[in-house]
Amino acid sequence: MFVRRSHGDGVSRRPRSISMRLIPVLICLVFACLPAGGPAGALAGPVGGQSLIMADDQSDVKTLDPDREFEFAAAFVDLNAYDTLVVPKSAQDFSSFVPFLAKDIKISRDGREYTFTLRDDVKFASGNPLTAEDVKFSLLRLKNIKGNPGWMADPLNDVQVISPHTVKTILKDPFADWLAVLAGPNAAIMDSRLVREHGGTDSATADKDDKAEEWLNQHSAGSGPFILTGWQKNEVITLERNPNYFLGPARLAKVEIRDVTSPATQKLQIEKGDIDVAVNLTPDLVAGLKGNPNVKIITGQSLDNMYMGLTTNPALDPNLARKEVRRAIRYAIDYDGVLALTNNQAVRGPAVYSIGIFGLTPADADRLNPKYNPAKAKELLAQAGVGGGFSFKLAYGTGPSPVGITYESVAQKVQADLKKVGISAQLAPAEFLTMLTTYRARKSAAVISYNQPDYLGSSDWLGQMILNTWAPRLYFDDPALKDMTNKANAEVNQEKRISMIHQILARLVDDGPYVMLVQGKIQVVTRPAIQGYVYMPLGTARLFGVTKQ
Amino acid sequence: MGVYVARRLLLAAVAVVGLTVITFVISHAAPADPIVANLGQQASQRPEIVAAFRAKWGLDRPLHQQYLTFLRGVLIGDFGISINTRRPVARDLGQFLPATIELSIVAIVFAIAVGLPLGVLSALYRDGPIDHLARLVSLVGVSIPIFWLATVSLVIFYATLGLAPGPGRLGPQISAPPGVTGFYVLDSLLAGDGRAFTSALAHLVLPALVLSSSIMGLVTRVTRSSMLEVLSQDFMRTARAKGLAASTVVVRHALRNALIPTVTILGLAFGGLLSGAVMTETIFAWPGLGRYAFEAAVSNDFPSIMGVTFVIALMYVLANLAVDLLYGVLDPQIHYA
Repeated sequence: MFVRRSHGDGVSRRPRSISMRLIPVLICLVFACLPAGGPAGALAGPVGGQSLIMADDQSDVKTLDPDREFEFAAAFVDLNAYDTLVVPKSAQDFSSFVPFLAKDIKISRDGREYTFTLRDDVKFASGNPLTAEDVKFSLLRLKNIKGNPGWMADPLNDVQVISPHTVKTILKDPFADWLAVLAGPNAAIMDSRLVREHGGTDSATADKDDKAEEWLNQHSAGSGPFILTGWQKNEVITLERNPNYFLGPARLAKVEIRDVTSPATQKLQIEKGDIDVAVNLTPDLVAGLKGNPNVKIITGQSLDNMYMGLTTNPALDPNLARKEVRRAIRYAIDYDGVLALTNNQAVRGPAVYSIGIFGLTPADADRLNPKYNPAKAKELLAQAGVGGGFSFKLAYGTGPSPVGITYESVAQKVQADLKKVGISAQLAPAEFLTMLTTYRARKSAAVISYNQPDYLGSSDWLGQMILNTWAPRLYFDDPALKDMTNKANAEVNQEKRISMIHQILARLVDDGPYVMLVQGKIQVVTRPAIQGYVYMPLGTARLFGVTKQ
Repeated sequence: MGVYVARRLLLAAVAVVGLTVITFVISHAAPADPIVANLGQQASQRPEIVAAFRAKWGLDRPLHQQYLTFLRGVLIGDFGISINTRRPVARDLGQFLPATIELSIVAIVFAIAVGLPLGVLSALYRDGPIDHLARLVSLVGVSIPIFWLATVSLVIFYATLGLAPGPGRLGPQISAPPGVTGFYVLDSLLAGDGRAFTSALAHLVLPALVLSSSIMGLVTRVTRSSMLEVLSQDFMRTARAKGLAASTVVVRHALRNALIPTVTILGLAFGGLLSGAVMTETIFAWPGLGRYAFEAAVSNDFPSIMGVTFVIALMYVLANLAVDLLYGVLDPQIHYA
């Protein structure tokens, strides 16, 4: 102890110094009396007619480099600052793809070679013309950087420049979803000359030698309708109109995407009119805005879902490992009750396959989905020899989920439903990463988890359910299904592929390890003056056609 | 006093290094894999992508080497690169720390401006209406959860009454002033940008008030109780007997002696504010260190976790040193050996 008190009466006085010490307090008082600034609108300054102010939760954004980013808020920025060779056909049909930077696509009979003829009227925002070299650079950089999305270029064997406006991608094996990958934000076509000037490379050692990320976090190198002009982490991302856009300049001159993580705060801001678009409102907050004439609710079909995974490993849980028990659990869930938790802003597909992904319409889902039937569940449990019931541990992450409701609320509903058929689900909440680490380590008997699309193709979902990712975590190994999946992923005939996908899903519903619980809908809230804002899965919205009256 | 300060600084260095060791061990022992936190489901199954990730962030080296690399970097002000922001952690701290310090200073100012007079008056008029009011204010201040208070205050003062601006450090379409200190209020003044200055100042008030609520309650309580103790001392009777004005007796004699516990509380509170403003920063969309630290923690961004820990620990230690030195200024009986 280095502070000690000396003896004395404790009344030594230094009136001058105490007065001096009061000065800061007085300054503080004056400061405290400053006006709060009046109505926010007065502070906001003049809002230009063609400037869009959005509130979006950007806490997941780590980078804006298209070859490294793997987060939705980043995908949104990149899909508005960069273009792709192909795009989804429409907001309603996002599992078919049409040429965009390409004007023509030829696919070889064996499904290995895709030849793209590029438009000759496209310039990057820098003024550099789009060439086949840019396509080659962009795809090889994605592959060689070995970043988070790098695996999407796994099918790629080589990229050949045939002419300045013709480029051929050669795949290792036939892959029916190659166009779906090329429509995603990670396959954005970059201005190779500009990226190289800032340290970018597509060489085989790009994971070590590429130095362009920092520059790409503050600038874009694309041909899209907007140009990235700045990113202040946790604060704001700004975009400005690209005057060189090949379809003509966008109506919006500027876009300001403010990082607001709290949905409740976003709701207050949109009601107040301080922002034009609120991206992350939860279903209960949106319900509170219904009937408000100052806002517009735009609903879109999200592909994000929440599912329950059940182990097939008897060592982890001998009861869940029986396929009759897993089927019984699928019959025991009151799915309508689960959807009601979202104010019915949700749908449901079979297994972990979302409606809207290639080959699955709402009617297909209705036909394939297991239905709530507790009597049938009890019957199956009796057949499995566990008619007297059993208990198992159900793990899930704490906090919000991508479908707008918490894992906790769904887990409690599942627990209540299973109890009615004699199964005791013991809830085991954990911090989400801890839960996911255990799940990925293949140590979980049962989990409630989620899936979001990596690209808009069926192989992403089928692969994870049957070939990799969740299948090994749940010890699910069905050679026949694996064979069917590999064939479906390579099948270029669309009708044949749809039929194969339906067969796979039916088999999964019968004895797979998955129980689809809910597939969310997205509700974006805008001010009435905003026109043309349409939700698109994977990237939220394309702002080119958006206007502000 | 110089020897005392030097000794304290030496001990502070030991404390900070010790804390970084503890943080390093705990963050690496947590059962959450940084691969899980930072790579997608598909990417984490590709050995070449996982290997590239581990190599890039130095996770492929033994733990002791990772720690020594951190420590060597600290000596030259290099905390490594953040996995979350892909920028040097030192630069991130330079961006986010001033935002939190600016907010914390104003919160402390509010806490002093309201809590101190209220505590004094409460003691002077013990068991009277002012005392009851002060006790209520302090009880409410320390017991209301910040996230609730933040949301409700936004609903009332921003959305309903329109008296306060919305979340963020600046209004929409107002550019941040050129960074000199990182404090927007000061920087906008230095840049002569009146619009940014007004906006920055106005945006500070509500979050700072919310953040100050619990400290305000504490300051009120502590000041009240220490004032009551001092007022009952013999020297107070002497002061009054000498015929000194009541205000002089209270301010120069009583308050000065009663301030030491309050200063202690403020020192601790300042350190707490720097690391504990997560909820306020989240609800008010305030791009400060609290949110940065939270995001680093949930994604196992080790370089950022270590950088934040180091800076917070340093500031805690320095704030407490400043408090200890203030004791001597407030009370001449205190000497430093």
